[in-house]
This record gives sequence, structure tokens and C-alpha cells, in this order.
Amino acid sequence: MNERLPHSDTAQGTLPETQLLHPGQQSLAEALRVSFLILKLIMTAVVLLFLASGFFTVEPNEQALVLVFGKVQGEGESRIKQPGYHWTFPDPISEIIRIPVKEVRTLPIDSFWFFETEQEKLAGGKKMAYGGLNPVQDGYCLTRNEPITQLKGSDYNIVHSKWTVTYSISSPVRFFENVYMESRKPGESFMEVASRTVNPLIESLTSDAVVSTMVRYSLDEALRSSAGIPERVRMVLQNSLDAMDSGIHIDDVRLNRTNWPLQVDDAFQASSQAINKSEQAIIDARAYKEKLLTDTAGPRAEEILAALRNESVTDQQQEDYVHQMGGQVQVILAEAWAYRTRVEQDAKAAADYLKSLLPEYRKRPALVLQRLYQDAVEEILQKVDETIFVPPYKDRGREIRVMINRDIARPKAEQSEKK
Amino acid sequence: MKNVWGIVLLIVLLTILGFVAFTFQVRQTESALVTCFGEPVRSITKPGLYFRWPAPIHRVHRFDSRSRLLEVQMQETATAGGEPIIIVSYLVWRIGDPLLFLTAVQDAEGAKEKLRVLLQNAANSVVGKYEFSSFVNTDPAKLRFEEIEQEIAAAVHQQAASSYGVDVRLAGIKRLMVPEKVTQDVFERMKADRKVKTDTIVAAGNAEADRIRSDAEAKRKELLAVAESRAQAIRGAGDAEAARYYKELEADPELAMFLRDLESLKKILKERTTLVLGTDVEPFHLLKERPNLNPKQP
Repeated sequence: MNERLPHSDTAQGTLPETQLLHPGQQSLAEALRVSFLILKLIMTAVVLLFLASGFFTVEPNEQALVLVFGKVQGEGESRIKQPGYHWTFPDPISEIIRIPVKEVRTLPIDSFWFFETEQEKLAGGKKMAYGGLNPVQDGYCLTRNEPITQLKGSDYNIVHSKWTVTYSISSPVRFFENVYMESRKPGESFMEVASRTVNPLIESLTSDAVVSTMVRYSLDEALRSSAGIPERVRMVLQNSLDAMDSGIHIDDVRLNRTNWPLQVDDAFQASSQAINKSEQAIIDARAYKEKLLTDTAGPRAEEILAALRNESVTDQQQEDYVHQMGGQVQVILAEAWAYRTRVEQDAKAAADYLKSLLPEYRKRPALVLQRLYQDAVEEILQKVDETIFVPPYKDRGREIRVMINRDIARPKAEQSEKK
Repeated sequence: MKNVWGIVLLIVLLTILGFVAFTFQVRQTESALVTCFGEPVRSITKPGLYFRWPAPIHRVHRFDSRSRLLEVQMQETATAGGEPIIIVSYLVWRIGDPLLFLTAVQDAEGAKEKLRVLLQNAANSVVGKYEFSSFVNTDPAKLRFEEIEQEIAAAVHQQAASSYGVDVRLAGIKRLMVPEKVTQDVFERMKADRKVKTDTIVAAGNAEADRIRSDAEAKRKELLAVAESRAQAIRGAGDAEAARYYKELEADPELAMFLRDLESLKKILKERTTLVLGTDVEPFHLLKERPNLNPKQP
């Protein structure tokens, strides 16, 4: 070093340092310079890579949240990153939480159904059951009883039911903040973890909603799967989920099946048969009524009758109504009209006949009468079956016996054919 | 030049080291408690980046503050009236006060044990205050089910918060059952009820069917009566019309009566008639004897 210093103070001015260095030192300096350059490049590359790793994509079916130092970035709507490209500071500053909001999960709830072995489930038929329901393996709900019997303590019934709940995540922020999820195992999707952790929660809340709803309904309403039941369950369930700020939306609650306990199957089957029969009796009676009234007065019978019953109806209206009727009423009217025509015509004919006969009769009454009388006797005797003549006897007390109607069943024409 | 880069590198390294040693993050889903030589000094419930002294001076305990479910085993208890009842209860809880939570129960597993006992006891005591008819009743107005659930939740909430630093968000009953023996009695009663109900429905149905039939017959009679009265009027009009012609018969009533009698005879003696006549009836008197006729002189 002492040797070099004077060189540096020479009057010739300052020379580039390297030129003054020993060749060995010179090459070392060169090596250092290169390695610094490489280091610079590497560092720049690392920084660039680090920053580039902050790009991320949100898939169309998801929404994402970005945590910067653990806190959700943004305010209000901007907290949710919609599908597309985004950038944030890379790990460990930021963390990206992806939530598949469009994915709808379906959760069957069979815990209110009676115990079935796998074979019985596959067979699908009804099994026979005796004894009671074991609370450990058989599920059911209590429903209220209708106050029809005076039996003491008859406040409730038992009914089995099967449900399906469909849910999705409506608010990713609230869901992420408030609903506990286990950490993801390698290869597991978000929804798989969510199902593992969230399904039991939904199952419990749904069960609570089902239990509290079913006690409000009667057994028959439950068996009919009245529309109000799943709707109320959905409402109660959604209220519970909202109360814990879960960000979960219940899309649908479906009551798939209901059944009375198998132990009372016979009684209930017999009952529905009897009720069906009774309903059939009513249907039959209605059909009978319909037919009877249509036969009597046509298809509008009841309507016309109702109009006729109106006290303010005039004679003319009544007549119109009667003419609108069909069936037997029309037959009666037709007969009446036929009678009317007939008596009129008969009377007219008799009058005309008398009028035409009268001049001749006045001239020769005995002959006219005789002719009329004999014409009539001829006509009659042609028609009668048989005629028996009895000669008159002067002495009284004689009797003759004539057997008549010997062959009453056969009319004259038929008898004559046989002859 | 190289010194500048060296300094930059050093600063970066120191920043990273300092970052790791002197700060910690609290996630949105967490709360944290900082202890200084085991002594709690800070309880953090808001997310973000926080300062600390490196271990072993400060230690950070993190707690997942999200709500989670806890189910309780099936328990058989009794109502106020002594009826046995089987319930399964559940609650949804989260850590409310990290400090109290850490000192009282340490971790989630510990909390579950304590909460389970707490919930069972609360359920027992609340259920014991109500009659069975408050759970399920023919009269929906007498139902107290929601009240019972709320009372259980309130009891658990109060105690969990004060004793364990746990915030109970929901509590309820997810199964409501009766012992196996009781279900058998229920079945017998259900059968009897159904029988009574069926009889009532069938009787009402039959009565309704009868009512419909008799209504139909009554209406039929009424319709026929209307038709008959109308027919009577038509016939009456016919008779009145015919009476007009009777006047014309008054020209010779005896002849008219005679003609009418003849018509009647013809109608009456139409067919299948056996006639017994005396031979003195005209013209059969001819059968008896020949008439003695004298030609009339013109």
C-alpha cells in the first residue's frame, strides 16, 4: 500500500484505479464487478418476480377477497373481487381468499326418518314395524293433534319426514368472517372443506327449524306436506343464519316425503280407504243428482230452478224459463200441447160434423139416425174379438153363462194368423 | 456503487428480519392475545399488522373468532309435569374475549367440554320449568317452543360470556322426542284417534251424499210441479178453445149427444172385446125374424 500511495499523488493526474492495480487485483476487481452486476440482475429479477406473483385470476364461478396484513382490503362493494385479472401484494403481505359463490350445495336431511338398513333402503318397500321408536336410531317429529277426541293427553302425534336443503354463499365477506372452516387439506376444494364444516351447521339449524315448525302443524297437514311447512322452515332457518351473520342464503327447503309411523300403518291405511269411500259416495251422489236433474229438466235445470224461485218472477218469465228446460219437463209440455190440439180439433170436428148433418137430419131424422147407428154397430163388430148373441126369453130367472177372455194374452191379429 | 447495492441489500434483509421479528398479523377471522413473559398485555380483536417484541419477550396467541357449531349428546330429561322428554340441543359459539378465553379454557377443545356441560345443564333446567304441553299442543297459541329455546340460549349466553369469554350466538333444540315406551302409547292413541276421526269424516261424507240425493229429488219434484202446472195451463187453454165449438152444438143438443155416444162406443169397443148381445138389438133382430115390410105408396 505504501508503494502505491505516491503513485496516486503524482502530478500526472488521477488515473483510473484499475490501471494502477496489480493484474491479480485487477482480475479480482473485474470478477467482483461482474458478480455485482449479476447480483443486481438477480435482485431485480427477484423483485420483479415477487411483484409479478401478485397477479391472480378470479374464476367466473367465484368471488375473491384480498387480505392485506390479515385485513380485508377495500371498503363496501370494492372488498369483493369479481371474476377477471387482479393484482395485489404477494405473500406474505397479502392473502387471496376465493369463494365459489355460484356453487349451490344440496344437503339431504334424513334424520327425521325411521331406521332403515341399507337393504331396506334399496328395496324401497314398506317394512313392518312393531314396538316403539328407538330415539337413538329412529328419527321423527312431534306434530300437534287436532282437538277431535276427548282422550286425555292427546296433544301430539308422531310423523316421519325427509328434507332437502339447498344453499349457497350470498355474502363472501360475511361468510369468510363469521363461519368457521377447517383449514384445507392438500387437494381439497373450498366447497369440500365448507361441506365438511358448514353442512353440520346447516343440518343442525335446519333440524331446529323443522322441529319448531312441525309442532305448529297437525299430523294431517304434515302428511299432506302443506306448502306452509317448508316455507316456514326456510324462513326460520334463514333467520338463524342471518342472526349469526353467516352470509349463507337458503335457496330452497323441500319436504320430500312424510309418513305416519309404520306401527300405525294398518289403522291409517284403513282410514284412508274409508275416507276415500266416503268421498266416492259424495262423488256418486253428485253424479246421481246431475243425471236426475238433467233427465228431468235438461242441463240447466238447477240454474233455471233458482231463477224460478225468485219471487219477483213474472208469469211470462216463468213461461220462458219453463220453455228453456229439457228432459222430462219437455215431454210433459209436449203431451199437454198434444192434448190441447186434440181437444180443439175434436171439438171443431164434432161441430163441423153436426153442422153438415143437420139439414139432412131435419128432413129425415129416423133414417139418418138409423144409418148412423148401424154404421157404428158395423164398425164395432168388425173390431171385437167375438160376439155372442143371446135370444131374449120371456120368463125371468133364466141365466146364461158365457166364458169370456179365454185367450186374453193374444191379441186378435195374432190369433187370426194362427188360424 | 457497490456500496449502494450492499446497503440496499442490507436494508432489505434487515426490513424482512425486522418484519418477522417485530410484527405480527391478525387475520380478519382471528383475534389475538399478546403476553409478555406469560403476562397478558394486549387483546386484539381487529385485523391488521401489529408490533411486538420478539419472543420470548412477547408471545402471540391466536384464536379463530368465527362462529362454529357444537352439538350435545342426546339427553333425557323431564318436563315440569314429570313427563320424560328426549332432546338434542346445539349451540353456535365464537370467541368473544380472548383473554378470558385463554385463562378459562385455553383452547377450542377445552371450550367445547365446558360449553357442552353448560348447555346440557341449561337445557335441563329450562325444560324442567315448562309443561310438556308447552312443547307441542293442540292449541298453537299455547306453544312455548321458541320461548324455551330462547330461554336456553339466554342462560347459556350469559354464563358462557362471563365465565369463558365465549359469545354464544345461537342455541336451540334440534331433536324433540319421547322415550321408546312412550311412543308405543302414542301409537295406540294415534290409532284410536284415527278411528274416531275416520268415523266422523265418513259419517259427514255419508250425510253429505244423502243430502245431495234428497236435494236432487226435491228439486226434481219442484221442476216437475212447475212443468205440470204449466201443462195444466196449456190443457186448460185447449179446453177453453174447444168450448167455443160446443156453442155450435147447441143447434141440436140431442143429436150432438147421440153422435158423441157413438164416438165413445167406437173408442171403447176397439179390440179384444167379447160382446154379448141380445138378438133384439138392431140389426140383429133380423136374426130372430124377418121384418114385415110394406112398400110405401108414393
